Amino acid sequence: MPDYGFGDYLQFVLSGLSTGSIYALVALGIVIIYSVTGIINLAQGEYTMLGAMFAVTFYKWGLPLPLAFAASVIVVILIGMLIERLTVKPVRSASPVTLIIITVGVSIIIRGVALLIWGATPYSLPEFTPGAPLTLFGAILSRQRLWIMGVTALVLALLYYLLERTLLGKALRACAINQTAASFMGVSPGQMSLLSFALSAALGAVAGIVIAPLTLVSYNMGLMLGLKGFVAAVIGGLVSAPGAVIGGLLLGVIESLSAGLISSGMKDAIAFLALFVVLLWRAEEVTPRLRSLLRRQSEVEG
Amino acid sequence: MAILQIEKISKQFGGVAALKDVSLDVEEHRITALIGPNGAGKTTLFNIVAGTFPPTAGAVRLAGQLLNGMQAHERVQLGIGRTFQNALLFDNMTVLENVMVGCHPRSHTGIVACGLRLPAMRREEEFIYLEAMKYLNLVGLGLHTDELASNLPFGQQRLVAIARSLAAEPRLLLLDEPAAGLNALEKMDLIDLVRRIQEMGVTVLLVEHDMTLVMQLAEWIAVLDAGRKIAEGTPAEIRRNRQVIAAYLGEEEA
Amino acid sequence: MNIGRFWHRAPNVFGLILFAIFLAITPLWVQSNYLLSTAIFIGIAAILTLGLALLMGYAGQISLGHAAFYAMGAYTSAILTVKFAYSPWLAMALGVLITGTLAYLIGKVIFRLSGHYLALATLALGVIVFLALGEFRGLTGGPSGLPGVPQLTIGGFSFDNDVKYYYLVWAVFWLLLAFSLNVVNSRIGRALRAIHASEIAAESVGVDASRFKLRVLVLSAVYASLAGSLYVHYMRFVSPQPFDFNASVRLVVMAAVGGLASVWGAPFGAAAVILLTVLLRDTLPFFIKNASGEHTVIVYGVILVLIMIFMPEGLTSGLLKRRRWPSFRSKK
Ligand SMILES: Nc1ncnc2c1ncn2[C@@H]1O[C@H](COP(=O)(O)OP(=O)(O)O)[C@@H](O)[C@H]1O
Ligand SMILES: [Mg+2]
Repeated sequence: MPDYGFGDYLQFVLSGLSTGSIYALVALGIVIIYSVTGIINLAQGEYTMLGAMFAVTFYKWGLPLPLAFAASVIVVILIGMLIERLTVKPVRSASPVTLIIITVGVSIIIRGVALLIWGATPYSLPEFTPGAPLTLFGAILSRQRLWIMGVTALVLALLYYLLERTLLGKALRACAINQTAASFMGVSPGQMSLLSFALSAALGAVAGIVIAPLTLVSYNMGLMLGLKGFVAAVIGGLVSAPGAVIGGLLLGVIESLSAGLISSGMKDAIAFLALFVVLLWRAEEVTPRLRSLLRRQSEVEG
Repeated sequence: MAILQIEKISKQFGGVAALKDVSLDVEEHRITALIGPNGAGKTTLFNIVAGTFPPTAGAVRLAGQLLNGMQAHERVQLGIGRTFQNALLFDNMTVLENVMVGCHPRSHTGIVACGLRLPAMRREEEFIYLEAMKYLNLVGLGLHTDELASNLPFGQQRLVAIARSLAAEPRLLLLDEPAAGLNALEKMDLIDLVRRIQEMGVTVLLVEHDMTLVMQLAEWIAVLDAGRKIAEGTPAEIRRNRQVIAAYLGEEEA
Repeated sequence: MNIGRFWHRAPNVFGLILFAIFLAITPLWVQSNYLLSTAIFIGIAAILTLGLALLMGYAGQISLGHAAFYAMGAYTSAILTVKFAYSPWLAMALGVLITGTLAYLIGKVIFRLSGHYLALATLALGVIVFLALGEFRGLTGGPSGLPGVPQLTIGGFSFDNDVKYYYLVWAVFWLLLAFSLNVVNSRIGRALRAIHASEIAAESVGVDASRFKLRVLVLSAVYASLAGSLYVHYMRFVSPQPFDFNASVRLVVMAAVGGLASVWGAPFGAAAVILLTVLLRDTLPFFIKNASGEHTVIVYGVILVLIMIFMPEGLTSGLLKRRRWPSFRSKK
């Protein structure tokens, strides 16, 4: 193993945090849809691909980068809403298995259509502010990575404001807690479902666009990002927005460290092993035997 | 001897206290009724005894054995059977199959023996079939075996549910509002059925709103109101109890 | 034995006999080698689909990484026979054992959680196994694969042509179908259907829901492992590519098309999807220039979504009426 100094570790952590920001955004999208509708949306990764693809396309058409960014997010939001109306609304009361399969089907369709439109050759998007990388305590960080973290922070702030401070956010949260009760209060679960898809599409698109300059943009980039988003969401508990963010950042750092310290080939596998560890831990948490053991313990004491 | 001991059970649902410090002993072989206005916590108490969810505090014992922490299916093995207020049959299965599932705790063939239809499995299937038929005949539904459970009228669905629980040969049977929606004739049949169940050696604890039925059937009555046990005694005692009368009058006025 | 109850089983018994006759005579009129080899692939896929249909339809759980179990069987057979010169049959048995154990361990953890974590866990398993197949070159041969897998033989008899292999694969499928039908029509099948209808009610009559879900998961993994072994001994070669995420999705499509309400749908789902793939591969380039195999997945996606929206019980049972018994029984 090479001899790493503080700068190298800082480097791993910082680049891990920036990749983790992407996972956090994807995970947030998953958590929002899951809390509001109960659907495990396996098509979430495709929004990142669409966001990146449309941004590249608009940029190629000659739109300035910020405009291409905005236009892409809007288009992806519309696509997310369209998907909700076409595939989720007709089957609101279907079984979870049915709903999961539908989202798998949707992701295949999106990927296939993207292949038809954009082909298999990867595209690239320029960095938002090109220039030499920055150095910080011996760690080298590209400017785009700062953009990623900055944009993620901004999006999180906006999301927090939307969920906590606006009436719409309250309605959304009410729906996440109890659909029936929310509908008594005049909140329409159908509309909230639509809103949740719009929001997560936006989050996914933003994630895809900010990471695009660092990776190549191709029709199948969404699959892995979506899966990583899932791992992050599950680490965070699947229903908690702060949990999703922490899960995403944690996953990014773990990956970056293991790529640096173990092998970059195993990086992806480690992310999924992390999922197993989390599931194991959560399962133990609810193990009845453990619970009864604890209870017996307290009975002895009390 | 008390077959079921409910000790200081409390249950919180979020902010709602559905049960507060409820204790109750159910004597073996005696038909005990649990009564109380809607929302008093009767079904919640059943769920806690049956292990559907854990209590916030308190303990449940069956024949002295502590049940806390045991899952619902484990409690069935120990002899607790129950029916649900809304029958909760397996809608995708026939009446006979519903009751055959009830024999589950008394059968043991594994997946391999089932897949190969080994002789032991065939024998057990035959046994399960005969047992299921026995209990279907007991509740008077021997002629409806092949109907889809969801196609039966509601009153009969509840009888299927009783047969389904009995097929596990419980020591204690919890019946949640078995008479709701039955006509006078069917109620008489039900009284007869519960008595026969008692004669089979099963202890019955039932929740029921129909006071005439309760007074005819129950040998001991406990009264819940707003999550608390407000009285307990023989039917004659309960009939005279002022608190009980007030609780019920209160409900009628509301 | 009670006559009425014999008639309950009769459709399955007659169905199995008719199906066996159909399978037996098919090679007599299918002369093309290409079709026969397609029929072999359909048979292998049908074995996989059968397990998945049990898992989805009866345990109400979904595996999005079933290709991992398939791969475990395939690679156990390939590695043990090629690198360690094991007997193919012993390797196959060990594959079943290893795969079944892995499924057991996963299910043991997952089914303690309520909700649909199995989909996520198997999805992760699929990715991990696929990555590992490419990564551990020493054992698996990496992305370029492992050639030289021996033929299957029994005594002096060798399954060395497509007709013989066709009969082998479909005989295995037929046996597994019979086994599955027996399971479905036993206390275990009833318990599973009960769990599907209402987990609370099933628990209230003593059915341990997570235990039965676990058993079905293991059973379906065992089927997948067997299919994997049959696959490598037919191809005589193995590489990671047939076990990617798309493969897992294709299996879910087969199960969904075949229908989740009956194990009879499995061969139809497998046949429909494979024949459609062949058809698309041959015709799609006429409609879309440069169309590749990847484009055909759009069609899967559309089929999957449409079936789940309009016929969540699957195509076979959506088309045939959902009556389980012959219609001489009156229905009020
Ligand atoms: N699963 C639950 N979640 C939240 N509150 C519940 C739940 N079950 C029961 N309650 C509440 O507990 C109280 C008692 O209900 P229940 O036991 O059903 O009453 P009863 O059967 O006596 O009519 C009610 O206020 C009811 O709203
Ligand atoms: Mg009640």
